[in-house]
Amino acid sequence: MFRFLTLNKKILIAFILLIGIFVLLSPEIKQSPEYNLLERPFLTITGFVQSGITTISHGISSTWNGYVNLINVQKENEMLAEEVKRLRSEVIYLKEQISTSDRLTELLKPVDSYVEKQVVASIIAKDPANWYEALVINKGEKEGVEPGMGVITAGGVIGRVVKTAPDYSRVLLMSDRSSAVAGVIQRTGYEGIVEGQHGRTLRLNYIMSDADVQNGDIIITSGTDGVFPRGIMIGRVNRVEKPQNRLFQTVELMPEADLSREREVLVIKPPVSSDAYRLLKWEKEE
Amino acid sequence: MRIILWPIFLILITAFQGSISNPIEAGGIRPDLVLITVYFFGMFRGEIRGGLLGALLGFFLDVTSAGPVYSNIFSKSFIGYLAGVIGRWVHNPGYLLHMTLIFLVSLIQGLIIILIFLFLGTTRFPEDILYIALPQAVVDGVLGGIIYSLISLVRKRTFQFIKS
Repeated sequence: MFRFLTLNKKILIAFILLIGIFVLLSPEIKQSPEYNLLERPFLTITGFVQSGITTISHGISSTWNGYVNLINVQKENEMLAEEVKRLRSEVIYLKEQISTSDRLTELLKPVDSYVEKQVVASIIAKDPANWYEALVINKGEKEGVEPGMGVITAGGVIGRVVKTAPDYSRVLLMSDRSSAVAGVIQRTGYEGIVEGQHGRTLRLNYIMSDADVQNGDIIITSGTDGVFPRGIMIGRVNRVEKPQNRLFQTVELMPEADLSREREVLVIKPPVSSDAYRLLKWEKEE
Repeated sequence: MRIILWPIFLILITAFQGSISNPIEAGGIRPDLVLITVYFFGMFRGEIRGGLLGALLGFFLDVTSAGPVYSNIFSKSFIGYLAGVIGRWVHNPGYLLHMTLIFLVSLIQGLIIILIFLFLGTTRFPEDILYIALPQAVVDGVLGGIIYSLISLVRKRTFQFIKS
C-alpha cells in the first residue's frame, strides 16, 4: 500500500486537490450562517486591523473636518442633514401608520411594526471584491446579532445579516444581486420584491403591468418577509417601463440610504408578524 | 525578521483591501491589491511560491468576502502560478508588459467569477463583463504598472546611492 502511494505520489496529490476543489466550491460550505473554526481566527485578526484603520482614518478626517475646515458650519450642516433625514423617514413612517390605521380594523392592528431587539453597530469593512455588495459590522453573536436580522439606517433599509462570528457580522447589502426585500408602493399599496442589481439602483419586481406606478413613488418595506417591520423606507421610483405583452412592468428605484455617508447602522430582530403575534397571544391566553 | 514582517504585510494588505478607509478607487472600481501582490510575488519568486501565496491570500479574501464559494483560493493560486511560469519565460519585462499581463490575469479572474455566477444562475451578461470584469482589469493593470515603476525607481535610486 505504502509502495503504491509512493509510486503514485503525483496522482495522489492531484486526487486530494480535486476533492479539495469540489469541497471548497460547494456553496453549502461557504454560505453557512456561522463562520467556521478555520475562518474565525482570521476574521478576528482582520476585523481588529480594519477597526484600527477605520478608527484612525475617521479620527484624522473628523479632526480635519471639525477643527480645520469651518468648525461650526460643518457641524451644524451635518446635524441638520441628519435631522432632515430622520424627520423625512419619520414622516414616511407616520404616513404609513395613519393609512394603516385608517384601513385596518381591530383585527389587523399594526403589531407587525413591533421590533424585538435593536443593536447599534459600526461599519468596519466592505467586501474586498467589486463583485459582491456586503459589509462587515463590529457587532456579533456576543451582542445577540443573528443571521437573518435586518439592518437599517436613518435613511432606510441597508440589508440583512447573513453570517455571524462572536465579535463581527457580515451584512449582505440590498444592492447585491442575491438580495431581496419585500416592498410595497406606499401610494397605491401594490406589493412586490425589491431586488439588487449590483449598482446604485434597485429593481421592484412582480408589479403587474396594469398597476399604477409613477416616478417618485415611495417604496417601503411590506413586512411580509419576516426580516423588516412594515413602513421602513427602501427608496423612490426613478424609472418605470411597461413592455408590451408582458405580465409585469419594470420598476427601477433609487435607495434612500446612502452608504457612502453612513458609519453606524441599526441591526433589528425579525419582527413578529401580525398572524404569528395573534397566534402567540392566543396561545398565552389559552 | 522576514518571518515576522511577511505575515504582518499579508494581513495588512488583505485588511486594507476591504477597509472602508481604502481611498484607492477609480470610477467606483477598487483595484485588487491582493491580485497585484500575488502576481509580482509569482513573477519574481517562481510558480510554486506564487501559487502558495495566492492560495493563502485567496483564502483570507474569501473569509472576508460575501462570495458564494471559495473562489479566490483557486483564482489567486492560479494567477500566482501563472505569473511564476510567465516570469521564467520573460526576462526584464518593462512596466508596459507588466500592465498588460496584470490586465490579462485580472480578466481571467473575472471570467472565473462569471463562470461561477453562470453555474449558480446569477450572472448578468454582458453587464458583468462590461461593467465589472473589464474595468477591474484596466484598473488593476494601470495600478500594477504604476507600482512596478515606483518599485523600479526606488531600487534604482537606492542602487545609485549605494554605488556613490
